[in-house]
Amino acid sequence: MNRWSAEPGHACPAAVAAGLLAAGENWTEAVQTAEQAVAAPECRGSAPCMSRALGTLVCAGELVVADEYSLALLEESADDLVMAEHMQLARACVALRTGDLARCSSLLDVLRCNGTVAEIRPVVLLWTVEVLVAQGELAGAEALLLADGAEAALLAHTAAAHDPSRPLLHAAKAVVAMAMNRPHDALTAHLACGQELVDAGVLNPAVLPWRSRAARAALACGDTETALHLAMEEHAAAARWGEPRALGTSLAAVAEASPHGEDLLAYERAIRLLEMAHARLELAEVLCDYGDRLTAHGKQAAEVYAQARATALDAGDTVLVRRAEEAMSGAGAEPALTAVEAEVARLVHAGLNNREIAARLAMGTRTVELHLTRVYRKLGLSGRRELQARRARFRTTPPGTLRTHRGAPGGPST
Amino acid sequence: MTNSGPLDEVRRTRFELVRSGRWNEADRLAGAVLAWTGSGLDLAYLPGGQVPESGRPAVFRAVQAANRGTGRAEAADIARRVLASAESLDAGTFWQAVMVLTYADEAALARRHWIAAPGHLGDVHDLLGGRIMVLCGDPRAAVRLLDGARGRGVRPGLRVVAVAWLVLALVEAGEPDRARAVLETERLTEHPDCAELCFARGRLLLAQGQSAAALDEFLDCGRLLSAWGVVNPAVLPWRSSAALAACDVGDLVLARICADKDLVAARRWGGPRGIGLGLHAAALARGGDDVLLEEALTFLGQASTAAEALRARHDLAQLLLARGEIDRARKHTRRLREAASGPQWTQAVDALASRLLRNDGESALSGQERRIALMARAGRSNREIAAELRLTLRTVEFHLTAVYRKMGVAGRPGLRRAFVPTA
Repeated sequence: MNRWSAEPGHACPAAVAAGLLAAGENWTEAVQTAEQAVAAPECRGSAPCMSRALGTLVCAGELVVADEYSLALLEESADDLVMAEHMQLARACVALRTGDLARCSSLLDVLRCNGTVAEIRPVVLLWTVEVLVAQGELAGAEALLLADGAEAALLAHTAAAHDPSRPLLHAAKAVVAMAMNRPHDALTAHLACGQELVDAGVLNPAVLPWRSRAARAALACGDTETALHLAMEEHAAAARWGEPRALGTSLAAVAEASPHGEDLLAYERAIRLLEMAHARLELAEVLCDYGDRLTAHGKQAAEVYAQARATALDAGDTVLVRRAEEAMSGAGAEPALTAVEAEVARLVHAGLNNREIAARLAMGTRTVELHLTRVYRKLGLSGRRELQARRARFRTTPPGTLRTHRGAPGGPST
Repeated sequence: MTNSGPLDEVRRTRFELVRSGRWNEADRLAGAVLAWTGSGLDLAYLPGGQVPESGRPAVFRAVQAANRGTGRAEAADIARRVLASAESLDAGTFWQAVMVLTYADEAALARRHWIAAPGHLGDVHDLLGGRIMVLCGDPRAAVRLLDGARGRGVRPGLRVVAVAWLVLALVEAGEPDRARAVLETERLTEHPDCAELCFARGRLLLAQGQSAAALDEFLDCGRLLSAWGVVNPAVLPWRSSAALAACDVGDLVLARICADKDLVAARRWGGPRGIGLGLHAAALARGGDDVLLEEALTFLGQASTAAEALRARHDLAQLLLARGEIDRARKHTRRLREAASGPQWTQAVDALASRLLRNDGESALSGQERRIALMARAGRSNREIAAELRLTLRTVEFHLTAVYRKMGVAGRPGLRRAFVPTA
């Protein structure tokens, strides 16, 4: 998947397909050209050609076809070691994208230990790191990064432009940094990866969704503006390509960076797209994010977390399983109201109107309205009628976190 | 259907393989088990898959090929040879072979074998007849056959298919109310054939203009089929249908994803019906592309699936009319009238004709009108449109009135059914 452009004067269908993939503008043409390459005798015998064709099909989300072709090619060219390695790599990629971490990991292990083809090493490194991080083996991922000399390679090659391994090494570094809770380093590395890809003419987020990953890192750094900008850019590019995984991933990044209120619909659309794409790893993560956001909106998220947990368990992503479980144990309860909010809610429930409540609690009617709005949002209610129809008890934050004394009836007013 | 332990184990393993993206190994496992033990015919998706008590490994391979969507000629060939063989056929083999022929767009051939089939096949014969009649463009005959079969009683394994296909036939015959009634009398839960039912329900909702609900049904249908590892749109063109629903709700990106994926898969399989449906959906997903629609018509014409060709021509005529290409619109309206069958099509042609009478090339909407019409069609309120385009409410109302007049529709519901090009 590293060689994007055709050598001049030698535009075989596989090279054309890889070019179409890199540009990311014409999904139909890219898929059909890649399939032509698999059928063309002059391409079928060549390992680099088949690697390009299969890479295009995988990034186009045509995983069933990629599975079929890679297996057939593996069997028909048993003595061609180079072809075998490329096809195993393609199969590992299908496993990674469908979210079968265990199988992906064993395929990658074989390639890492016995692999002879130098150009696939950085790809193997990146995916191995991704799998290890998902399995919660952070130390292993970091050790691998050091052992493979990724850092040294990046420093040594600064002069050599367009080395196809550089964006992959940056990406691997970024994934580890993000998992080690170093979002600033992750952001820098993701942006470096993206710059290399763009310089090489790879504009398609289906190859490597660096913008949405960078957006997550930027969010973790607290830079919402950059995050939203990156996510929107990737979403536009993913919409041009028209493949559900890339689109869903970018849409989830947009939702993550969006202000409250504009995000739930985007999450739901992202989940729908990732389900269509059979993308279990991405789906589990987006479900967790969606659950968190629902909780923040004061809505029930237990079901979403349960689905996230099941999906993550299925894929073998232990980190997400743990995250969903922790969220589930915390999410059963309702979001807590502050003492004032609870008091206002109680009085509304008792049938008082806002003016009466304002008089009772010695505050302005505007303030009452403000508290009520928060109550509705936290409890996920549409308004006064729904609140009055509810059971009477409201859970409050523990007294230690009480921020005001003014709300207590008859309390001191400052 | 056997319930022996080892076969259950195989079934589970197969689903597990599909879920982990190992489609090919799943297929091989099923093939090997069948060749080895002679049982396990329900290891590939086939509606009414519980019919074959017996069956032949060769036909099973054809069913697998049809699910995968490769090797149409060979699959059709296997089915043809089995049906032509002199020995008398059991119900299961007959069912499988005729289904494969319908997937391969050999409806005429399927019909010949169906007519020649012996009488003892009972419900299997009636149901296949219903399916063939819908594909041959005679939904009323299909309704008669399927209704009759249900009256006489069908075996439990075919109940869901019978309902799903009857609903589809009723929708095609322009009787959505009856279709709804059939769906309501049947309480159906977990069943392997629920994909067929989701699809039929989706078509009904789409015909009634409830596109958002229809989209959900189609996506559910897709989820069920992908659990079986079915890729071929010839089995159920759920993506093309989802694309039409997504266009209606204004999600053109999703529409394009679905349409293109179906189109590529249909070309791989090579059946003209699937290609035509994919092209039709792709044309609408691009905001109305008359070249793609013309291409869709040539493919749908080959497959003799009358209703689907009518739908494509109707959309083409509306698109041309909205663009102000009156002569071409008139030509297609004429062809539509010649081919129209059933009250819903006569009505549609009359509506088109009356719009054509009122419009003499002035009908093309202005850019602003088109934008507003599209948003209104996607279900946005006047107030929302005004806010998004920074117009006053009065201006939006003014533009919409012009849109209704130019397009000759009665209001928002009419607009939803009429076609608004985005480009």
